[in-house]
Amino acid sequence: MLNVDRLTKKYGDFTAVSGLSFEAHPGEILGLVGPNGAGKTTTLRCIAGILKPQEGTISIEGQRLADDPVAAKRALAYIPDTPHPFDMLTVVEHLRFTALAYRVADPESRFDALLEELELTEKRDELASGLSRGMRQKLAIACAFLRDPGVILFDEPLTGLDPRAIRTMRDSMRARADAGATVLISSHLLDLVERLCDRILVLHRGQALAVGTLDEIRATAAGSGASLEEVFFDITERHDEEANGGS
Amino acid sequence: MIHPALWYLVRTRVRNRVLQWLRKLKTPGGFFGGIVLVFVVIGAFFIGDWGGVTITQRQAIFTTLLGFLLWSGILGGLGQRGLVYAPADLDFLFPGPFARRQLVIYQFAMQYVAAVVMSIVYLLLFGGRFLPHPVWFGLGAFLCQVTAAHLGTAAAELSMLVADAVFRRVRAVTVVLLVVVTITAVSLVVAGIAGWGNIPAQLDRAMSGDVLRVLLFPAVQATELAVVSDWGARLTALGSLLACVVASFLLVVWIPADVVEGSFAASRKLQRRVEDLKRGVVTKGKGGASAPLPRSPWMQGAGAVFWLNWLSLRRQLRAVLGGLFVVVMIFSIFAVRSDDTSRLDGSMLGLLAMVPLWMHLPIGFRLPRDQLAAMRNLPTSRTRIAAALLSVPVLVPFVLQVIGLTLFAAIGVLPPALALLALPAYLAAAATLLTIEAIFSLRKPHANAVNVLQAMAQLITQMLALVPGFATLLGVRMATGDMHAGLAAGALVQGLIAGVLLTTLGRQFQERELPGLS
Repeated sequence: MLNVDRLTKKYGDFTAVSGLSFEAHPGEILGLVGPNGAGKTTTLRCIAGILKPQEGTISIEGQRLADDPVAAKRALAYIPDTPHPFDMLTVVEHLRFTALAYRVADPESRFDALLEELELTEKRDELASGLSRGMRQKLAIACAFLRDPGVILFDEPLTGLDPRAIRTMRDSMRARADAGATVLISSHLLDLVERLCDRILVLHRGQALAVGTLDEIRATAAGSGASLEEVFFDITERHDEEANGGS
Repeated sequence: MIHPALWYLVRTRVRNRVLQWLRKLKTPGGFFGGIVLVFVVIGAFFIGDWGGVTITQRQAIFTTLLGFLLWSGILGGLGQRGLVYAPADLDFLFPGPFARRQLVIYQFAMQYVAAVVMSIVYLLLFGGRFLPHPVWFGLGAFLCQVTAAHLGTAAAELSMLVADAVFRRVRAVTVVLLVVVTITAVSLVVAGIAGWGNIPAQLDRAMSGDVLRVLLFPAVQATELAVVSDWGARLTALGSLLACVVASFLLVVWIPADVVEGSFAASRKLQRRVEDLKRGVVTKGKGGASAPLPRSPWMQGAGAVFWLNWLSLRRQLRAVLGGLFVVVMIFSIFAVRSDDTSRLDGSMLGLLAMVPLWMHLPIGFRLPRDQLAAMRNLPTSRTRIAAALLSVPVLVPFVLQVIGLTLFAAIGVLPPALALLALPAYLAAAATLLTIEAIFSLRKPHANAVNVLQAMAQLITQMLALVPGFATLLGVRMATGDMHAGLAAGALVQGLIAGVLLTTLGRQFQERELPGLS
């Protein structure tokens, strides 16, 4: 369970996220969509405890991030858009490190299945410096999945993956949600979000313009039968027109 | 105290780094680099005589060196808001279940490892023969560096607590101070080690002043350890250093700064700078930095490759200036000696030390694979392309060396002109050989898996490439009695060899298949 309440993050005079509130529930995949600079990555980094918001609260599995960041982060996994693994650690050493950090019980018994699932078995003892971009992405995801976190944040999760890996990843994300995890995906790939996510949050200029299932959002925007792409452009362009008209 | 996972991370990273370094010695580049390193260390160990410099003067010189490390750390910390972590740390540790203090301790652990390595380097280079108790010097240098790391971190934390406007003013001042401190300290240490004039005596006098002794307290105690013989004084110095370590650590823990967000921003900024530099982007945004189309007909065809390399070089001016600084330092340390034999040895060592510097400039054949492939497909002779690619990497060290030598000529200390005259030809020969090897290596799935024999063969070939030039120099000099004629003839022969190798390179570049590139 993830709860974000009136989140505001500023960089100097620039407001990246303004009063953002939403909830994501166990078993649900919430898609975060928005143009470049909308505040998606900032939102994810605030939830991951990397950035400190000026206002608002974030709760992860009922634990307020500001009160006990270590406990809150233990229930959370964050996979950045371009993960940089430790060059001097092998794939399996990354898993061992994660197991130690998150106190995973009997981790070695889970390595094989996880590496198999993410097609990393052959790279098991290879240093991360020798991995391709897609493999690095998979390694970060393997580290996240190893500990069965309650909340998983993906920032552009399918960048750099081949078609087969994309399908594997989609299946894995769905499986984690079905197993009870709360999954939050930030992506530019509207097709992916439309097919995979249960609910969608449209973020623009740091503000939530719409939250709900695709049908619920359609009802307030482009009309029934419209694709997410059409809905997305309709909502964001209307917001821009209103903002320009008001200035 | 340190989280078990972070301790595992430190151990594994260090172990794998050492193993990788050992494995790298099997590659031609690594083997060659190792040989150069051994030469430099041995050279530093045996060249020169510090007989005229007293023990207290030596102590003052090393106090200056350690004091510089201390204050450059503090000033550097004041100039940045946050600690600098590796990209992997940001992705795996920052969102992880680690408290602020554990992240700082982890950073310290990595710095302690670096401090151990640096202390061994100081011990090998200086302490072993210049100070009475080298092992104690190594220990003192380590503790002083640990204190410097702590104080640098504390300074960075303090920077996070002040307002933006205050920080910007502080940073401007610290940058100026850092430059002044660096130039002053490095010049003094080099001049002291080289035995220039009465610098050692002046440093010794300066270090006896109360203000400096307080400002450089950990450094003073570290070098005190290296010279005192009675256990009472030794334990006092050691206790003082340990107190510095503990007090500075407590200071870091006590300052209530949020290192996570500040360090994330500082590290990302540095990460972007490094990535930009790797891509050759140094100037961007303001004012537009696009170079106009060159009008010279020489810049058509293969000349365009030269132009590309030249632009890349111009935009990495800082790296070149850093290179210039290194050149001056190398010649200060090795070439400025009291007798001609030492000067010759020193200049040869300086020459060897230039090679890794030149190899690290991201120009020439050290281009990304896709760019290399694009070069191959240009509609002009590949021999010319190869020559154009090599011209800038050869030219740059040559110019740096000319500047370095000119500086020393200006003060009446000119190392043998041979190094100056033969350097471009030598570098062309060495660069060509390395590049041919690189082209061959690209065919292998694992370019690093090259055996030692191949590396030795490459090294011997490079050395042999110099023999005809030397032989010609000596022969012409003996025949004519004219040193200048000998030098000119030697350089000419060396140039011819470089030309032959260059032609070979062009052919290889043209004929060899480069899978995945073309």
